[in-house]
Amino acid sequence: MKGKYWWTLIGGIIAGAYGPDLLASKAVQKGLRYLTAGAIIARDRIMADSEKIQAAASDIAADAKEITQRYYDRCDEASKEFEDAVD
Amino acid sequence: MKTRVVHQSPGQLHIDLGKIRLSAEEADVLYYALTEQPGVHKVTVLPRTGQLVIHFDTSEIRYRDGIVRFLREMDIADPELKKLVPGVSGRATSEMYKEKLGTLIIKRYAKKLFLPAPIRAAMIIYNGAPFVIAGIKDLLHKKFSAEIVHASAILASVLTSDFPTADSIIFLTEVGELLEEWTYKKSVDDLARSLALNISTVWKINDDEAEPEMVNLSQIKVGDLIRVYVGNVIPLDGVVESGEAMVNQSALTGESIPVHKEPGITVYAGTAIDEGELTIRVTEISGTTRYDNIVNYIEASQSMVAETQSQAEKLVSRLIPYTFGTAALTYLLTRNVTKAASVLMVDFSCAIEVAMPISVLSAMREASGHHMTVKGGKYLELIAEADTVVFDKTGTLTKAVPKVEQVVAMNGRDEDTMLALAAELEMHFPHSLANAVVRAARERNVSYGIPHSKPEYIVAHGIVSVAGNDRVIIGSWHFVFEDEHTVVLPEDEERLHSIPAEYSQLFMAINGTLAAVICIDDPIKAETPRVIERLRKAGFSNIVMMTGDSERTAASIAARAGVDRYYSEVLPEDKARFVEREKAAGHKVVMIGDGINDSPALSAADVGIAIKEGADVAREICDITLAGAELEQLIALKELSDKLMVRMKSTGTLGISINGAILLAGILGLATPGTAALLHNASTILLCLRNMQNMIPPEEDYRTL
Repeated sequence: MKGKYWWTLIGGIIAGAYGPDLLASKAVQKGLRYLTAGAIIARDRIMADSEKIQAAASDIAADAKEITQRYYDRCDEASKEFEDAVD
Repeated sequence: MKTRVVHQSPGQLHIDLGKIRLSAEEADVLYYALTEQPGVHKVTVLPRTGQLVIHFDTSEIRYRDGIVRFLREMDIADPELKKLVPGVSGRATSEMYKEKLGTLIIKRYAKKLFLPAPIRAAMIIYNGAPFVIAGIKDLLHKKFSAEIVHASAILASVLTSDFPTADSIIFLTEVGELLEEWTYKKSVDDLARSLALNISTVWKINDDEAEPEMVNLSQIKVGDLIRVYVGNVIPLDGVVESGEAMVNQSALTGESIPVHKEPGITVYAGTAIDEGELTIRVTEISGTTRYDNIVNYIEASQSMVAETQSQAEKLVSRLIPYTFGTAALTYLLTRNVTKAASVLMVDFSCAIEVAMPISVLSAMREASGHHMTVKGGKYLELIAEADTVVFDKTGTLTKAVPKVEQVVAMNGRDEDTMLALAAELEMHFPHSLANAVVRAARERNVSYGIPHSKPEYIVAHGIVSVAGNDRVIIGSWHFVFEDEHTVVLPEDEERLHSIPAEYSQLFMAINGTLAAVICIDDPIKAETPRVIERLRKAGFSNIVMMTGDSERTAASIAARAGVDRYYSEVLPEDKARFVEREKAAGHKVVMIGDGINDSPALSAADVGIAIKEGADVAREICDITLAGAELEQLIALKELSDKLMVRMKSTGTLGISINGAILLAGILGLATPGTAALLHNASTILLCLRNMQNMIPPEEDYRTL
């Protein structure tokens, strides 16, 4: 609506006039420092979680391999018994 | 350090170290120290959670227990362990790229979740600007590259207010570029590390003695005098004090023409002496192995790029104008900007530009996993095309440890004395026959005692020296009898002719009279006949053996090995000439050698391969190094090269067919530009990942032929 247009225009002018000074101010800088630090910590936590998943997946894969190996060994034994019986 | 076994499986240990985080240094020490432990196959360090996953050999219980005990007892700050970490840690590089990739992915989804739309749009424009600028620059330089297509795709999306598409294009392009950079850097790192010096001992001259003493490299200080002999690598930077030599500086500068060095001239670590010898005053003992120089050299040399790849790149860059033409045509025919834009999303050259280099680099990495160092992708391509392979006999087809079987002394001389004299003279040369003589003398515990002058080495013929008042020569029949006209005393004639034929014979003459014949048995390796057969099956139709040895020995070895042709009593120039002749006849020639006298032929061949135990000069100028004198590695190399060619071809085909299908879908309106962009970029990345897979069975499978 037309009203929205005017508000957007005024908002843009104010932002353009005072925006850069605000962004360069000490307070905002300090806030941004902590914000960025928080973001980095969040990223590291996410990557740490992905490492945990990686380790767990590796364990699961190793166990699965062991289970299939035992399964195949049992199959081999069974077939050997069968061969012996046939003979 | 504290260890808690989180999970055990056969062959795998998952261990928690009780620390929340591991620093890069700690992770490096753990990684490299553990990899050295017996029985360890693979170590994965997870630094952000303080955990380890170790894959090990299950054949012996002591491996697992040894690993756990080592971890419990180790002190992470131990400087001895720190020494195991190489200067540039491959693990740290991988970790850095993993973090970059993780950051890229997290940033993208965080932005999507948290930032309001207008700010997102602004950021997309900000991130996409470099791509657009790069594309415009290329356009102005009239260079039709893939950058232009990317730039136009991003621009088209932004102009049609399709910000999600622009975002996904930018994101996937960045991921692709990161993967490519990672693979490239890893391959160059691995290559540089294996090319870096591996010297541990050097001849040092102490001021009061004339005889050089063999000391450990770490004991040399600035200002010390060291001597470097023919065929060896200069280990440290310095200034020539005395002597004269022709030095091959290709490891540093890439030029293979030897440079003349004389007193007063500086010499550099990593260069090799082709002829002559030098006494050098050391000016620099830093631990650097010219790593950065090697990296620069590798990057500058065009050998990284295979011919097929550059041809494909040229072809594809010709297609780029057609992409724009198709987009324009689509717009004209359908009056639909969206459909035209989706044409621009599909970039045919992407797959080829990104996935092909990755496959070449991955093949080089895989070769190093087989303990082979390939210095450029070009060489793998040449091996795939090669049909001729030329072997040196000694050390390659025969065991690398020839043994002295008999010493037949003539002219009333004593066997042991003759052997000792021969050993003293042969000690200076890195030839496997020379080593056999030295070893035999050491076994029999004999020494000569009388000082001798430094032996002069006449390539492929023999050595000449003065010991006390006698002139001594050792060498082949051709050298000793035909060149030097040695006399045989009548009473020795019969013994000379009754020497068994299958031994390699070194003749020694003192003051013109035959003094002894040293019989060396050079047994053929057991697997040689089978390997030669496998090689023939792999595609080498012309297998040639060349040796400086006598006709009789050569004939017997050749027959047992099963080579197609053999040449005996060959001089180095003959080897090179033969290689040139074969090349002129249209064959692609692969040459394998290990000695100093192989360098002309190695340079002349299309691909020169050196054995790691051979002379340093050979290893410096060769294109591929095989660690260990294992012929089986040749089979792996050939199979790897063939599979690489197939993979590169399939990359091209898949790239064009998949992208063609996406293009068609876009034109027909079946896919929006966003979908087209996603499919295109995702398929490129998947192609890259596929090209990073290993192509041939692991090394163990080749050793048990």
